[in-house]
Amino acid sequence: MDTFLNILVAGLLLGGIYSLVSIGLNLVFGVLRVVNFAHGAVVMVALYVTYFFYAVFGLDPYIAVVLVVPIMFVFGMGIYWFILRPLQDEPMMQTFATFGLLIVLQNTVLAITRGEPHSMNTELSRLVFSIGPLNVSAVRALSLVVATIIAGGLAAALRYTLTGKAIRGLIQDRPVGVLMGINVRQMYTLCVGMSAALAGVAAALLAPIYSLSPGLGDDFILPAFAVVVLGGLGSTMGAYFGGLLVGIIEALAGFYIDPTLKQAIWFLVFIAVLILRPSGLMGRLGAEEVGLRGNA
Amino acid sequence: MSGHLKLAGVAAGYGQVRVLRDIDLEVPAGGLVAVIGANGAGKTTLLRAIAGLIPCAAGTIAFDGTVLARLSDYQIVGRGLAMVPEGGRLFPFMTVLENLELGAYHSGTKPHRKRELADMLELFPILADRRRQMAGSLSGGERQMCAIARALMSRPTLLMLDEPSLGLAPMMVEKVFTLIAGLPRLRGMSVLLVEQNVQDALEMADTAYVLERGMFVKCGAGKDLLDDPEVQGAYLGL
Ligand SMILES: Nc1ncnc2c1ncn2[C@@H]1O[C@H](COP(=O)(O)OP(=O)(O)OP(=O)(O)O)[C@@H](O)[C@H]1O
Ligand SMILES: [Mg+2]
Repeated sequence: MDTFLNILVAGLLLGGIYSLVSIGLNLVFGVLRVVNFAHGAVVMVALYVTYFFYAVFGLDPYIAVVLVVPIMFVFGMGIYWFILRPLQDEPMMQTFATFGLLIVLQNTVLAITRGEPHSMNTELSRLVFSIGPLNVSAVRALSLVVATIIAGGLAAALRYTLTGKAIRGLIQDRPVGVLMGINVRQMYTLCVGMSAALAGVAAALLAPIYSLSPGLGDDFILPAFAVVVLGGLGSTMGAYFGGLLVGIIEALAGFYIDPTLKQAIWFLVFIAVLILRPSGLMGRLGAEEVGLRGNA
Repeated sequence: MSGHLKLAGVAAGYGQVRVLRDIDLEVPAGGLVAVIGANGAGKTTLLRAIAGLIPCAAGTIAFDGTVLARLSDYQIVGRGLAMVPEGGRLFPFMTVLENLELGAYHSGTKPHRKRELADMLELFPILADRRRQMAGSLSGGERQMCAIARALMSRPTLLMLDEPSLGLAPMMVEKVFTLIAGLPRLRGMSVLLVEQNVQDALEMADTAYVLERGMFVKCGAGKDLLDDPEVQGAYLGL
């Protein structure tokens, strides 16, 4: 029983990081209708930026995050402005372009770092506290807390602020949003920027527990795709709970079945959910279509 | 007085397809102008072109002296030009209140938002009752009211309406038209109304245009067109 609980907690904490990455992916998908294949690579870039501050200035990743998040926000705005916006009338091309970006980012980082692995060790990363029979890694627990705050904050912002309402309006009916005076490019820039900024937060949380390599984004993008579909396209809370769920399934399957099968297992769950609930756990049926309505 | 719209030689369409050709139209400040035409004549396309949702292939559209092509699409509502799209097109997964708030999204309305919202809920009591309901679950009449209120939230000087009577029961049509006919006096704005409900539209319009296959074939005072034998034959079934 203790083992089970420990695995459950480990999965939940891993899920927190999946949630953060998935929320960012979902934001771009939900609003721009672009599947961002480069999102994992953006997490990777953020980790290297964090490492840069660690190696050059000796900054702890948790302090560097206040620099990394704005840097990644600007990086995301750049992705929108230079890659997605020029292709705005060709949705398929936008998706292909993100795939190209993934390869460019990976290879650029590979060329700069020459593929040598790096890692960041902080006191915190080894800190484990025990609650009764449970052993909880402090860093991973922090990830869960941060992911929860961000998911709640973002969902509330989308719900209650005028800008959040404008973003939801664009999701539901873009041409009418324009009639209301919403500046589509400005909102899209903001969303891609926020998505990358969230990748920056994820990077700070990952820094103490993950060793750096140019391909590390792959470990996150696949679960994140599953999470986004599982949780419901365009639903922030769906992405949050979906991330936790995938983390738990992965941890349980890795322990009780076979570590090499863990991904196969959550893909089975993923397919099962889609058969039972095609719109995802918290999605709305047809929500993936409303954004594609034509002219007003 | 503002709210003056003038189109000269406008052509517009979708991709390579020209729908509108050589359109001249004028809505004087404080006037109520109607455009009538059959299905597919290009009425909706005309409003889209004015609102900047599709580009003009030729000609100019000027609003209170500003050439609209010089503005970005989202800036047009800030100049005082609002539109009620065909079928209302509310944001379906948002509440009535949220729809109204987005109507006043542009920054020019900032100091007036609260009062404007209170005015709308007073003007449309049914919306006050339904304020927390999802717009997608409103009845056809409520939806049309909400769409008109949302457009008014932007404090327009010209309101464009695309077939506001579409799908409404006769009682409701009368209500909506009474409201629209009163707008120029009530709120000092101009109105450009697109309708297939020809009888009512011509009765209330100062000026009316007849659109056929993308071109205006007739223009005159609403009352005169009501007596025009061609209009009677083609649109009034007389
Ligand atoms: N998005 C579009 N892409 C291509 N063609 C379009 C598009 N929208 C409308 N059309 C075409 O333009 C022409 C005019 O359409 P429009 O919607 O302006 O007609 P309408 O007068 O508003 O008709 P209705 O009374 O049925 O609303 C039609 O032939 C239509 O098929
Ligand atoms: Mg139409």
